[in-house]
Amino acid sequence: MIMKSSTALRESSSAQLIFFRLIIYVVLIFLSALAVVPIWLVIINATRSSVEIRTSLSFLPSTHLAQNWRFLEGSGTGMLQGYQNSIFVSVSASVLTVYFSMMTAYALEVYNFKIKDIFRRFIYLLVLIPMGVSVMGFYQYMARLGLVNTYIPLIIPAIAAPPNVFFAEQYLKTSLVKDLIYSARIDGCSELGIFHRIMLPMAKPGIFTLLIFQLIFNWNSFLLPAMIITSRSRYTVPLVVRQLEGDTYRTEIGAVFLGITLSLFPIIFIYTLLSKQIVGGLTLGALKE
Amino acid sequence: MRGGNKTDLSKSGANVISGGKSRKIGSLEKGYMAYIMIAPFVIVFLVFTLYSVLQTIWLAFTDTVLLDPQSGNFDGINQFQRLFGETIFRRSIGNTWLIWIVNFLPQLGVAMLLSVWFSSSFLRLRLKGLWRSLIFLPNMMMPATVGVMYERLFQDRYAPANQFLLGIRAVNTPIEFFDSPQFNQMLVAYIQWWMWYGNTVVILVAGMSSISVALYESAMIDGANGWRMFKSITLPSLRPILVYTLVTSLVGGLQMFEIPFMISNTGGPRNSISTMFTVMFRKYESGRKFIASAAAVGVIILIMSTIASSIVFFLLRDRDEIAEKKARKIAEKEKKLKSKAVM
Repeated sequence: MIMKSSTALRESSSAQLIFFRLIIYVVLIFLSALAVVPIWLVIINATRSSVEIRTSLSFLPSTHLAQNWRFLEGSGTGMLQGYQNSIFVSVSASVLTVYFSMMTAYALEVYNFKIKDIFRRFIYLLVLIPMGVSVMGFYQYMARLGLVNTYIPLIIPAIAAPPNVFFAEQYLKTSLVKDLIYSARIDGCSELGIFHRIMLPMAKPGIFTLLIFQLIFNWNSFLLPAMIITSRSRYTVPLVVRQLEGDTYRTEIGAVFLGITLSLFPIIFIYTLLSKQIVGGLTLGALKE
Repeated sequence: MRGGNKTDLSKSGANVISGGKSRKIGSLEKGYMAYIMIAPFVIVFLVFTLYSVLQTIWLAFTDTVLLDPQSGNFDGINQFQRLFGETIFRRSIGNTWLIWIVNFLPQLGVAMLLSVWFSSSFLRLRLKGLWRSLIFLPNMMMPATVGVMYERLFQDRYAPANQFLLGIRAVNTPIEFFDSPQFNQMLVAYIQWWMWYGNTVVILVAGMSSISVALYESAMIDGANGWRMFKSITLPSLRPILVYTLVTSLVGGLQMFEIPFMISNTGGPRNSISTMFTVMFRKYESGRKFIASAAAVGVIILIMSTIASSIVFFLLRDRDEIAEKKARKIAEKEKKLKSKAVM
């Protein structure tokens, strides 16, 4: 009965269905174009001269990449230095936040302790509180400690990141095999040893996902570096990009587009390789009602 | 720390042998280890995060100007009074909400439509992974760069956007886009939409995939159409996820910063894209660094997002569940009373 009705439904509306599908594909192609075309235009314009950019629209690369690069580096923007600085800051902050978030979540998942429930609820609450609003106090505090223009304020606070603990906890809830922990204990493994040698390898997919997200998040971070870092030689990539809004580049628009491209390049590269894991990882563990 | 563990390990070993049942190890006592493991988080949280929040709140009640050593005294609620007297700040509140709403409604609408399409077993679309990856891509881009990127694409008479419009003969003369306050606001809203709807799609698809197919099948047998099923099965099942999406978008939206700031670090024509957060940052960056006033803006944003998310939680709470709980409680009470009466 069910089979009959549903096949009947399908047959009667198959022409309609094909039409409907067609419309959907058109919409999807349009939305994909909206996402890709601006980025593509920027990349293409990075290879064109400023005159070319200002006279015509093109979706195919030209030959002025080297020239734009010479202007960008010649004007003292420091994109290469920015790359180094950004890599250092984002890798350190990301590794720290992944390691300690996993550790905190592991403690919440595996042990029984008095303040467990309060602590867990506290973290859930913190996820919702907009921490960005406390940057002014943070800045003044760092200034008082003499940490302005160092990377410490950009790296150390990553140890306490409630959203990451939340993610890690949701992930561990579904992936942790507790029996392994028990047997490791019987075998005489220390508690931290269990965490390092059993839990971390077991949670590799979750760790990997969190690490990728944190790398991208830290690479993109603008507000804190903009407040904390004052000397040019320590600028991270977003601060270098901000300089492109200056007067030097009013006419050298090819160089600006090259700068934008370079700031996006690592992310586009990682995303092209790992888009499946990244998109899938967004809901990994999280949102299990 | 390591040495300490070893001695304790022998104790737990004894437990295993003597206590016998796995419950002892199973419940994973050793609570003290938990304290050691959450210690780094707690210490850094207290020292950096919490202290900064308290410091910000304190700052908002002082007259601190960073480059003025005479300042730093308690100032009551003067900063807040002054803020609400400023036209720019008052306008920035309206701008922030307007831009957020104009970005969020289409975001939710488009994401809803796409996720219904993606998870429909009826349509059986191809290349789902590819579409999802493409529309999610903008979410990964550096917001500061995205701001600069769009600014350059629309910048002036010779910008790519004008070349495109002239090329398809949609206009005869190039448009000076950024002269119009409305254009500025709509562009920022569009960019926010562009960056975030893909994210919402991924979350909604995950939510929809957890709804049991049997529900739809039985509804189909009952002769429900697509819209009806969406309204009475999909939407109610998605409620927790919708609350999550709404609240995170709201909290993030009230902190909208990089995109409008990169498009214009002075707030655009007639301050049309001054958001609360950009006003805060400009107060900090301007002249003598008015950090107390900036902190007051931060406190206002904090209060606003707390109130707004509480309202969302309240309005979208599960009424049936609450009613059920109440009914259960009353039933239990009655039971107790009865059993007492019997005794």
